[in-house]
Amino acid sequence: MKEFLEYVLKSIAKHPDDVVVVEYEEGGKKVFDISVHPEDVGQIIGKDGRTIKSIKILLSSISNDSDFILKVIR
Amino acid sequence: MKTLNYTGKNIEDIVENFKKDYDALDGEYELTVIDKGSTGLFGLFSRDAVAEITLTNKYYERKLKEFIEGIFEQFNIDYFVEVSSRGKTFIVSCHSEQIGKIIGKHGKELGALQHIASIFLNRITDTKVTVIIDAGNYREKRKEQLQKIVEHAIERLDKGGKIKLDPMFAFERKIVHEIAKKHKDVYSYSEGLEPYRYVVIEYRKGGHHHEDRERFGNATTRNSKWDSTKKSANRA
Repeated sequence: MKEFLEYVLKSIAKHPDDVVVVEYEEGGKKVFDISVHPEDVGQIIGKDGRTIKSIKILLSSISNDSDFILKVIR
Repeated sequence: MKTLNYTGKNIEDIVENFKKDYDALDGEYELTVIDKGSTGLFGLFSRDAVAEITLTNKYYERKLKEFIEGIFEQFNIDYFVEVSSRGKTFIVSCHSEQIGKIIGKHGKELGALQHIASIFLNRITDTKVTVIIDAGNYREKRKEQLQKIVEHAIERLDKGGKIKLDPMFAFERKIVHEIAKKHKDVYSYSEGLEPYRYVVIEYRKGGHHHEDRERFGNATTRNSKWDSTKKSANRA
């Protein structure tokens, strides 16, 4: 899951080298902390959160698991 | 689509650097030599070579294909991806035994994939490009389905009545408006907020033609019953 997330984020970011994903568990839930270059934050989230939502949809479908949280850190 | 300016010792050098920078292959770019450059005399009066390189659709088609394949790789299914382009529109068709997984419920995944792919491609191009992803002719089938939905709604439409359709994606609503436009005495517009925005089909004498006539009419005598400019902003 983490590799996939990194793959997509790096493909759509202007600064792929600054993409960092940290996976951990909080209260029994999987959490992915996403940190990107400040210039890319808007791009990753998208208008009305559309991009990050799309990433979540793909990720849930691939892993057959939608019980996780994507957090974009700024 | 994207034009780059390169300078270097000579043309071969430029091409080599460019290929390395952009991971481009032969036949995926056009080269215009502006200055061949000159080695000069014993290193004196030497001039750099200058060239303009334009990446063609072939390059973007391959990049898009590789990106989509990278995603399908993770789905753990067999797949077949094809990319074609016409001007600024790129069409990706995918085929797979487990096509349902790619399409998702109500085409949700297909919509998500299309959105991500469009961002990916727009990042590497200069101009705005459109990406359409079709899986197992889902889009075509969906279009036929939309046609049926709209026709069915129009049949049920009473004089003066209106029917709200289910929420749809923006590009699906666009198709619905196009279908509705072909019918007499039918007017359509969108209502609600994304992602639950839906189309309303209304009985209105003259339909869309009526609206056009009104817009071109004399502004001072315009019927204020419904503001055509406001309505048209609501559409799509």
